[in-house]
Amino acid sequence: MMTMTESDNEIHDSQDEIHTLEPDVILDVRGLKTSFYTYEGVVKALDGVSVQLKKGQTLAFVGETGCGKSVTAKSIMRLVDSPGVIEAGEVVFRDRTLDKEEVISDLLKLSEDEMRHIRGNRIAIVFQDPATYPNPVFRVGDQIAEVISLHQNLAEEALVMKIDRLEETLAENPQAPNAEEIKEKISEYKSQLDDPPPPTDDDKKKVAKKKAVEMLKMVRMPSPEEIANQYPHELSGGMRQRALIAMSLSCNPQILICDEATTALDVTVQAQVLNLLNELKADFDSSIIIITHDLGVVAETCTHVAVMYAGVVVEYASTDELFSDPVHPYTSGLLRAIPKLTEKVDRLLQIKGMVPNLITPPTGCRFHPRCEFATSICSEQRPPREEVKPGHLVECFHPQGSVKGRR
Amino acid sequence: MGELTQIEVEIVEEKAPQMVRFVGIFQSIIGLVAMGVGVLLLAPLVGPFIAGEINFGSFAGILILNTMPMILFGLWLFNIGRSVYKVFAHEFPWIIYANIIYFGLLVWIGGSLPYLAIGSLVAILLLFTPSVRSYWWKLFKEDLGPRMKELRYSLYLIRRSPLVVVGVVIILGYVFIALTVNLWAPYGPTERIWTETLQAPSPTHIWGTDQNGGDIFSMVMWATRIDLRIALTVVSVALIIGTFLGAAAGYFGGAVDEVVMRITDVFFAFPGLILAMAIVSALGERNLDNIAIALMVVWWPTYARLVRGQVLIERERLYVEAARSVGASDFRILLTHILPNTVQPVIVQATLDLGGVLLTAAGLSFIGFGAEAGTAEWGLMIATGQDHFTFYWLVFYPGIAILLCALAFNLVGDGVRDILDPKLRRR
Amino acid sequence: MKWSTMRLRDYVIRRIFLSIPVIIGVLAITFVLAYVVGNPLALYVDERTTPDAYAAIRLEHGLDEPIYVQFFLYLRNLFAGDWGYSNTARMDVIPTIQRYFPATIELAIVSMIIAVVIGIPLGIISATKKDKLTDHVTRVIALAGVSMPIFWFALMLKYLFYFQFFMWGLPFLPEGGRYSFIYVDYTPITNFVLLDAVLTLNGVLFFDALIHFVMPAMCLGYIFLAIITRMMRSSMLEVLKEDYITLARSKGLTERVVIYRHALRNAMIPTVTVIGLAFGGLITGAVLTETIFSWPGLGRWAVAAILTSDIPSINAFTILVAIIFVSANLIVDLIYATLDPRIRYG
Ligand SMILES: Nc1ncnc2c1ncn2[C@@H]1O[C@H](COP(=O)(O)OP(=O)(O)OP(=O)(O)O)[C@@H](O)[C@H]1O
Ligand code: SF4
Ligand SMILES: [Mg+2]
Repeated sequence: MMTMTESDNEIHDSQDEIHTLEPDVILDVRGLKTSFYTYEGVVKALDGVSVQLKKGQTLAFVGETGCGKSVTAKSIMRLVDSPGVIEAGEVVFRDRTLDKEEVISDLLKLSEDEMRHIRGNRIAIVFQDPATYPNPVFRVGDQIAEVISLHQNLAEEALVMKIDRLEETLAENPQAPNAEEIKEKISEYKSQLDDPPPPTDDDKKKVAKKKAVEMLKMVRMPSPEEIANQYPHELSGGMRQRALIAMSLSCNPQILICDEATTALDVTVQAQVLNLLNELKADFDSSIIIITHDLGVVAETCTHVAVMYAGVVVEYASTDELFSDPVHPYTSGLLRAIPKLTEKVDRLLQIKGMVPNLITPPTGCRFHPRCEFATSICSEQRPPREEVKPGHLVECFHPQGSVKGRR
Repeated sequence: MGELTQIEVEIVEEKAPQMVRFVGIFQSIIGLVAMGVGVLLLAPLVGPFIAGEINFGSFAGILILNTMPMILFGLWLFNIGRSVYKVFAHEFPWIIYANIIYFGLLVWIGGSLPYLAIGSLVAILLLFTPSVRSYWWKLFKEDLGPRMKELRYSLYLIRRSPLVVVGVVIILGYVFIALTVNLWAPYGPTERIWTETLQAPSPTHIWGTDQNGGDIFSMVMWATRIDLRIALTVVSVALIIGTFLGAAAGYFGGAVDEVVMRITDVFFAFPGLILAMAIVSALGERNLDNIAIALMVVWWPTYARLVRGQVLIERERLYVEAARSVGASDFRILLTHILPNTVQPVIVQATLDLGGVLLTAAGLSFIGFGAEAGTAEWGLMIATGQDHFTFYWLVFYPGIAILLCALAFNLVGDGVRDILDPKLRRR
Repeated sequence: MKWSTMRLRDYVIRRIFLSIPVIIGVLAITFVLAYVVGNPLALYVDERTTPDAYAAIRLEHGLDEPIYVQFFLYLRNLFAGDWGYSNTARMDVIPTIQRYFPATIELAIVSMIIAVVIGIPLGIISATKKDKLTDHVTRVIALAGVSMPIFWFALMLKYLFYFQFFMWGLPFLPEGGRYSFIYVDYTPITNFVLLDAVLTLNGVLFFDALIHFVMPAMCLGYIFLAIITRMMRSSMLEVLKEDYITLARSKGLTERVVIYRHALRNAMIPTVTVIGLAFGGLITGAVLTETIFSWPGLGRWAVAAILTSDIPSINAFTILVAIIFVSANLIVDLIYATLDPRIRYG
């Protein structure tokens, strides 16, 4: 069932189109549109989301509840369920293969098989709600081991495990009658280390389980061996969340998407997990997308921020730039609503007015009914995306902040 | 209904005009009349029953189907009247609902009772006189808005689900047949043409004849009356008994709950048909009444459990709300606040059970309980046809009649359950 | 680990204890039906019985004792193995049950296997192909099965495969019975025909018995296939909407693994419950069809007892069925507990 392993070279040959990416950009979302076809009408949840993620960056998505953060994440992974449909856009991804070759492809055009190879392996996601996401009838460890044995070859690890086991028996009982045999076996295995044979399913399962425990240790789970043998309902919410994080980290993904992954954790653990994420980023040369309501987390851990409003990324800049010089009226409202960056409260709702109904969204700029700077053009046309400063993108006719009045 | 805070209630109360009080008194009188009618319906039967002239079945039937609902509804109507008199704005709309149900009850019992419904009509009309209307209409409309939206959405889903529509059409067809069969059936239900036995389907007897010369087509059509009536009676009685026991168990909890639930456990330890079988054999006589009684006994625990579960949920919700602080009695809270919210699942269950009862009744009839030989009843027709099973039409047509009818109820019940299920009701 | 299995054991014990009051309730109901509502003396008296003789019979049967004493006597007799005399079978009830029980259970097991083996995959396919043609066809098959009077279906099968095939000159199925006792030698060992045939390596008997199984098993199996398919479909649909399915997909698992490993186990939980209830239904089905197929089982005996108002037989049959049904549900609950780790906390 799970024989799909590293075979990257064949994986990508069905690409007919050549996509280009600026160097260093690992993920480029261009004009992503996702809608839900419901009884009351078409919910235009995403209306042209564009955002870039460079290698080694930590990108934050922020915005009010219902603005489409989770839908963006699911759309990138192509996990939008019916009645949702991804209608337009490109998600261009730079895939690093084993031999350091690079393959650039549009995830939305890959076949289901190719996409499965990406999911969990190249791009992993940690979902919002730890109560409902783990499968209730499987042990935590098995659920983590499943993804490990799915995407990794584990041949070498299996061999090493065998050698270790033999050496142990030998060390315990050097005078055993079959000591010679064991020694022979060990040297035979050792000679295979350069080109390990494919492991048996049983060995693979054992190794995967062992790695799963290691992963649990890595996310600082208390007594990981025991936890691995427990069922999700026996764990607390925070422990479950950490198990999910361990699961998503277990294949060293190039991009890790955390959909409010730290919301359920207490403050100290939250800091630990965030540090962990940053460590991982450094170790494996990965990039992270963090979806959060918590601007404190953003300020501490993220290098870049994308501010979303009603299915559109209205502003994108580096964290320092955004906090010091917010240009979009919505962003400045957002920042003003928070007295101190370190205070952890969800005060995004303090901007006056209501989140718009996405079935009949406001024309032109979706923010105009709530915007204090709106003029007639705002309700007529969609503001174009503009680079107001290097690396600082905004969709607004009347940008504020340091570039105020340029128009 | 509307969530009126205590303060609002008091304000309303202060300047309530005479007309509002009158509506309350009028409604209470309707309630008293209903209770009286309930007693009167049973009274003439008590003597003969004690003397043994009337069998237990008919007596219990009248008691459970007519008298009990009348008295309980009367009590309810009376209570509504009382609270309207005290100007609880959220009770006004109940005058409409309760009187509509009361109206249905009067029609079901029949005789000259439907004339009483004029009173209900007047009560509803009074509600819309300007001085009364101002007390409740605005709140009611506000409250109704989202409900109507939900209802419209449900109707839309029902219309879009072809299987439900098919089911509804079939059921309407059966009801139509049952109501009008006397007008067009070629032969009577017990009519026999002794010279034409076991005839294959032909233009004279489109579905053939049985071993005694009965016209299968006519008999199947006539049987619609008997079988639908059994199914309807059994389900409504089981529903009434089960609802009240379940509601009591859920609402009062403690010992009541424990006793009722343990009893249902025991009933659930038998497959339905087997228990019904044991009951009918114990009752001794074999007739349709006894089948109906047995099935009622078998079926009430389903509703008791269902309603209990719902009441538990609703009760928790209500504790948070103000209804108690306004000083309503337990009984009134149960009747006017909790039970109405359990209606949806109960109706779905009842629709499904109509099919189940139909099948089980036919099964009992098939193994030898039930109507006397020669009655036009589907199960019995199949039972008598099995000795002549090589003449397929004896068995085939009544069976198809059962199959289609049960299928229709299942289609509707299933479809409506899916549509009402909040888990599946994603937009 | 140990700790987990301990939980399971506690659960099993608790669950078994909980079914004791139910069984006592069952006995109470049967007692009330047979001795309080019904007339237990119906067999012994007729119009010619003199009042004196009547009183003597009452006394002999302990009917003048207070009700609770009677109930106690009733229980004592039941536990002592004295279940009365079956007028229908012309022997005591206990050996009668021993004689008829295997035929019914064998039929129920074969039908159940058919229903489960076909019904579960059918339900899964129907759910995964929701609103496609396969799904519509499956749903109609399932709904028809649930709405079908089983005795009618049996008669129709018999008409087609026995009578019409015979008329058409086709190989037709036997009319009824468990094996052709005219052609085949068979001395019962366990009374389970198929099992005996295997034990004695009697190929002829095995094949002959199998042919006799076709119609009754098809008949009972279809009805339960319908119930199981329906339940499987709806629970599968519900499970496929759960978040953990999205998580499984996000791991990059193939759709097959997602459905058969992650969804199936969860969807089986409600289905297993229904299988337990369906077992009660199988016995009901046996009552309704065994006579049609001349199947020498409990159902045919019960129907014969009903026709002659043989109260002890009916009473014994009712108790027996309730015990089978309660045990089936008990077993199902235990399977349920192994499937769903959450239940062990109960
Ligand atoms: N299955 C669905 N059917 C219909 N609409 C949906 C569905 N899923 C999401 N939406 C709509 O898409 C929009 C974006 O939802 P999304 O879950 O992405 O919000 P979010 O930004 O993640 O909010 P939160 O911060 O609360 O997690 C919402 O307006 C929601 O109504
Ligand atoms: S485009 Fe107009 S309405 Fe939209 S944010 Fe800018 S100023 Fe406000
Ligand atoms: Mg979200």
